[in-house]
Amino acid sequence: MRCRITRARLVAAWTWNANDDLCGICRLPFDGTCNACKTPGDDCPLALGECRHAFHLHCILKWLSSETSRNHCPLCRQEWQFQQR
Amino acid sequence: MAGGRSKNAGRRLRMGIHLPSKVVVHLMFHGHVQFPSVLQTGAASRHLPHAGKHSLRCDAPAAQRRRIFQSRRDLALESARSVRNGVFRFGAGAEAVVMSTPARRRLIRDFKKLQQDPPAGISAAPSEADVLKWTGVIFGPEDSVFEGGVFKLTLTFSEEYPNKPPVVKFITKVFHPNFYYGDGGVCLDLLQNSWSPIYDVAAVLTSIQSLLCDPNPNSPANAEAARLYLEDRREYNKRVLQCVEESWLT
Ligand SMILES: [Zn+2]
Ligand SMILES: [Zn+2]
Ligand SMILES: [Zn+2]
Repeated sequence: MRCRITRARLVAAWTWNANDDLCGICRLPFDGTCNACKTPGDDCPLALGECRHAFHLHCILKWLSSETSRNHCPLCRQEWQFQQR
Repeated sequence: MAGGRSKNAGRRLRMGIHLPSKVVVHLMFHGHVQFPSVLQTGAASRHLPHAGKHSLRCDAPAAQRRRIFQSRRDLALESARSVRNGVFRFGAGAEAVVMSTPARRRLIRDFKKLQQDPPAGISAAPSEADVLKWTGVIFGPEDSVFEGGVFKLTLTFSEEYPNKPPVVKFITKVFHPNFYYGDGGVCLDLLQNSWSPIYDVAAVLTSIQSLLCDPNPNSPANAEAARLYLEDRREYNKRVLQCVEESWLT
């Protein structure tokens, strides 16, 4: 017997690989978006620091651009450096 | 934080608010106590329906004084409850009035977290009209001079929250080395230089609560309180007790 597949629909699941489920800044899950965005995924990615703390990219950028931050990681207060890989 | 020890300190009422299970009434039964004069004024009785009924005389029999104090304590608890009612009213209409900005969305999350997991001895809710304006209550921690105090404060957030801290002011006058007696401002490094966007309303209030019993006299906002705290603890405690009593009236 032979069958012919005429159409297939693929579904993929993904999840960010972070230590925590929630972004400490906006308190929303990494699998969703930050609280300024609508589409999860590449449009609202996750950012890892050298200190291995993770936040939504948008959230950490907004924090780093505020003068209160003095470029510190919100969690450990070390100078924030994006992890190079 | 102060939360640890006082975990079971408050009686948890149905809607998740913590009230002190015990209110200090000692001091009041002996010696000469200066009663807050506001009690007798028209303004006070307008806020507190029962206040005008009690004229207070220091030579009144102990039983009578006790009765008056009990009714004042009830008033304090009642005012605490009215804050809880504020919480409840907000809960009903909140979702509908939220203007969607990141700061406001984050504040709604803070509020939900406060309701689901209320820290001991504090309570807070945004105003119905504006999510950026909150009212909070800190109950004086048990086994401290501030025990029994019901201290109200306002928290004003900006659209930059949580990247900028809120402005916190006491409505209740609090005699404390790190609180400005005049405008009620709070001198706390967490609200200035060491602010981090991972803090929320609960974190702000619990830090202020632990500052209550653990003042930092080296960066005083109230020089007199700082001096008395360091040099004359008896007088300091007396002034604190006075403000605890007065806190029942605001
Ligand atoms: Zn985020
Ligand atoms: Zn985003
Ligand atoms: Zn870090």
